[in-house]
Amino acid sequence: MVNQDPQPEIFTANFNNVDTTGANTLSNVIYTNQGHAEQVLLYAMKVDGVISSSGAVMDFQDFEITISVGANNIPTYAFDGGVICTMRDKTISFACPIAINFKQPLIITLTNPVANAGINDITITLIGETMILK
Amino acid sequence: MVNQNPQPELYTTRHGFNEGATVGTVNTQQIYTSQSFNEEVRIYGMKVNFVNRSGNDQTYQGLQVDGDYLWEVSIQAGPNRIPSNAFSLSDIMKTGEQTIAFSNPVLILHRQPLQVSVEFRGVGPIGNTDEVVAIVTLIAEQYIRHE
Repeated sequence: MVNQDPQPEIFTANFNNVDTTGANTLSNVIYTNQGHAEQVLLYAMKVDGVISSSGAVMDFQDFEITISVGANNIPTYAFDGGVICTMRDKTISFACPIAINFKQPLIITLTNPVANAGINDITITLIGETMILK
Repeated sequence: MVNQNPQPELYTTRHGFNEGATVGTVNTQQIYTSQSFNEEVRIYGMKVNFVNRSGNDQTYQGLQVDGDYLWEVSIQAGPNRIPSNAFSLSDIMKTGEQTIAFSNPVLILHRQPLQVSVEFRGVGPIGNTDEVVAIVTLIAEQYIRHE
């Protein structure tokens, strides 16, 4: 339920101690707490990763991200998260916003297709807003 | 088929190159846009990242060691290349954002195959420290066309 219309939102999904010595598929549910007459729009995503034990910048850069909204993936396919992580501002803007309606679960899935020796913390932040539908 | 109109899309392709690959080696990957007859895809920009076979970051400086720093990319939309010519992937990689924005969007119509080709343009075969995977991400949207 929003306290202002629109209300800025930052949703964070933390994937801690990801053991990349094997392939992983990890999911994190985000609760948007929206009312029946409200809609969430997601404009951009930040991705950051550090080595769990030291906090140093993560060298591992080969992983993919999927955003599931309701029954569907939006964007349609998993996309590269490593490139976002290596960019200077670590942010990707979508060409148009992802719309999330009432009762639609929002799930972030992280997959790493190749094995790598290391345990990392990967943080995915969604930048959006919640608004009342007119 | 879109689930919202318009729908943001990010298409990622992985282009692997082994040690010993010679100059001119091309790796082409197909992207399935899953668009309907009344839908179009617009591609606004492209990101690139280089990793090694273990998934670790492959820097431009690292690729320079064996002279493996020259790469080109092209997009095939239907029967044509859009943009008309291949362009440098190395230059995109060297920028802080690792992103290039097109001056106007690449348009993909129904039934037009979409392919991304990465070509190795180095000064010799790929060195033994540089097994490379070029990961290209197209920043796009898909929408229902209004007549």
